[in-house]
Amino acid sequence: MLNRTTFRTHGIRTSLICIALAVLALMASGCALNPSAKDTGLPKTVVVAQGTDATSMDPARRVGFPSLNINMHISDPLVFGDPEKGIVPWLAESWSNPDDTTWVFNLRKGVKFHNGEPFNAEAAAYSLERFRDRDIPGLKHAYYWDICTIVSAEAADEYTLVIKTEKPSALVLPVLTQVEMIAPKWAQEAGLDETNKKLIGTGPFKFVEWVKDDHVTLEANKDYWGGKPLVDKLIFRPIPDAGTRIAELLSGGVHVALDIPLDQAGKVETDTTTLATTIGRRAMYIGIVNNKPDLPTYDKRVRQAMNYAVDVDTITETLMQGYTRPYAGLIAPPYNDPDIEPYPYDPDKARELLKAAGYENGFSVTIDSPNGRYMKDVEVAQAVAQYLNDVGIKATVQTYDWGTYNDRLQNATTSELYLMGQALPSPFEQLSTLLDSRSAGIAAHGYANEEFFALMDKAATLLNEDEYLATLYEAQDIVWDDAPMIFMYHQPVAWGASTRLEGFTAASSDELRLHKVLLKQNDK
Amino acid sequence: MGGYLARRLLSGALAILGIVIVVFVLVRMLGDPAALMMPPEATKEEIEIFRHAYGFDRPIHVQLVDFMRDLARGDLGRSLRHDEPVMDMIMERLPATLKLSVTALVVSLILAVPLGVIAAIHRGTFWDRATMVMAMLGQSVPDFWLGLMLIYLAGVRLRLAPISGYGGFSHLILPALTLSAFPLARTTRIVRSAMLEVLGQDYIRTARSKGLSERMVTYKHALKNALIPVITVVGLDLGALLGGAVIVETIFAWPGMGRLVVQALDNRDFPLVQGGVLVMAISYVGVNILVDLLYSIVDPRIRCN
Repeated sequence: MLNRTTFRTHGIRTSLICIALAVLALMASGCALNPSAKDTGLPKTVVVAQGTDATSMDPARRVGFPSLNINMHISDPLVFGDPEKGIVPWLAESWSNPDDTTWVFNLRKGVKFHNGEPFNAEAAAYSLERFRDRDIPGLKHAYYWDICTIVSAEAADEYTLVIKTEKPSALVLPVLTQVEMIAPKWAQEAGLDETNKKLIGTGPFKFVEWVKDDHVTLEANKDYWGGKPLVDKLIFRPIPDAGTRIAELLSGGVHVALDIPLDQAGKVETDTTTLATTIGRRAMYIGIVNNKPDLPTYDKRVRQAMNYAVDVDTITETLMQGYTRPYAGLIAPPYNDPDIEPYPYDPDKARELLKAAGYENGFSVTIDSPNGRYMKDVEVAQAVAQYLNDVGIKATVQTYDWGTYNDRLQNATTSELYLMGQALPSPFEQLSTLLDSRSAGIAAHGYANEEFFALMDKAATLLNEDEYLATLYEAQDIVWDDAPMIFMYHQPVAWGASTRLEGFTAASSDELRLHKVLLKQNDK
Repeated sequence: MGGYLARRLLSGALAILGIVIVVFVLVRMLGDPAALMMPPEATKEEIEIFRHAYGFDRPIHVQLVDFMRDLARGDLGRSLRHDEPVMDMIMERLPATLKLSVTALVVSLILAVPLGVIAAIHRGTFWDRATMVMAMLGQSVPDFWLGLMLIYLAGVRLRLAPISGYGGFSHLILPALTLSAFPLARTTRIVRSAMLEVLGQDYIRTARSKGLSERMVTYKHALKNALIPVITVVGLDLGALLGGAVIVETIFAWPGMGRLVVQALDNRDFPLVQGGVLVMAISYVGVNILVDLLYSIVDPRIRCN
């Protein structure tokens, strides 16, 4: 018996020691080896947490903002889409149109790619032609060329690039904002596999390494034509979970955390971290199927009634926590039409319009919504349903995963109403993508107003910006009256940042620029 | 033994083939990858060009035959979204998954065996009850909750370990602890119940009556026999973990297989999903065969049957 008791005591002790040692060893190694939990140890390294990893380093093959954010730090486009000022000179210092189908770009001199290759008109022409090379699997980008009908891009001399289009096109400049330069000699020698993993550009940072699904490291290009970056290194880390991104920000492991959910925004406001927000350019709306005569929504008055019935102000104040407001026009600043006013919340007028349309007793509709694609998408759809119920329209919400939802959009098989958000870099693309049913895509729901189509066709060919915008304003006025959608708000952009970052702001374009950001020393 | 092994290998290969075909058909029922790959402003013509370029406009059986032919050559195709060979993408993530799953399993075993033995030999006491409460918690607490709590406590508050990412050994701590919670709890319970069963056997009484020390009885006679069911469970756990732990990999931004395949599913990246599932199936079936072989070595009665 004594033997048995002794063993028991011994057994427990051994086991407990075993457990304690295992836990302590794990914890202790964390204390010793963990650089990110306390401070990066590299005061001039800025770490950015994004939701997903880049898909490719190749500008012609990338998909989505995380890739774009990295690409744009490594290379430059010819013209830059500034969120405030519109399209501004970048690697092209100026441009002109000797005729309606010719664009002449005067390029910046003395710019070099990171490997020493000179940036000139040949390099620019190569980078542009690459985008429409159908042998490169970035087929998805070839549509850019199709929409602005570019037929050739050639060097006229060392620093003059000439682009020819089949028809006059207002889309050449917006498309060029999306095309970053790539070192031509390197790209041709390296081949497609290598250019998928690495990029040699002209930008403020040089590519160092990409460990898939873990990090992309860039280092400052001290010879950058736009001025030396203020930090030495940039590290982009994909951290899918928003809670983890916030925890990393709070612990000092990262300096910037993108896409902070609004309901967690409060957590980011601390002594060492802050929330940077702005109204983005993604126009949120509830699309209304308006081309089927047997549906009540075929009647313009019903669609207008829906716009009067929904209190978008309250939705932005509550669900969007006041970080945005109802938009006046689908086009975001700086290209918005100043004369458009949002539909006011007026349920009485909504009931009157419904009565006039013969729907005094209401009718039933379903609102389709993706689940988790946009900020609080399902909650917004439910709020809209409630407002519609208040004026007698029996609305229910049906949710889908994004893939299924996208199929329904593309094939025009959604319910009568569907929640959607869209942000395209140019005002023309924004309107045409959402509403020009002749070109399919998500506009396939059949908004067909010949007057609107005529104005869009005209705008597409106008090279004078004032005339171009005035025509788009006119087109937008028609849409505003036709109400093929319930107009809502531009989705806010919410980024978390360390207070050590100086000069950091959120961009309405959702595009991150850290070239001019300074990382202050930790004063603790 | 050779016949047994051949039978197991054949049934394993058939299982993998079945899985590959089912997955091939199922992912195509998810919908059209063109809808997700092409920008919303793409025209119908552009979408058709995409479908044609990747062969999605062909009948499904023709696509399957092509896939099997490529597979026979060891070619898993290229990812639609990343434009990279699927095999390369999997090989890049496999080490991270192996590191995490093996560590989690080792941690769970190191802790579970002594805990289970303690609970069994101290049945009905405080130690037993405490162990069983811990096991119950470990089995019932969801991964994402435990992970976020560990991140908050050990990462943000106490700053004991890195919160996320892949790097040195320290980056393994929180994900490995989170991932080990469930197998730890389950293995503890199994060790305990197996020990209790074995401790009640006649041969244990015989051993004690021979005057063997209690330690000898417990470890040499009881534990050895009690570990037989543990091998099966641990084998299954390892097979499952090798496929990647989706939630843990996502929370801790761990660059493993689970995260890769789930993202591929979201993006309808068919070749990547097929390749990922194939590797997972091979790991699972492979580990199962190994466990069966091990079992037959540990317990010769199985071989005889």
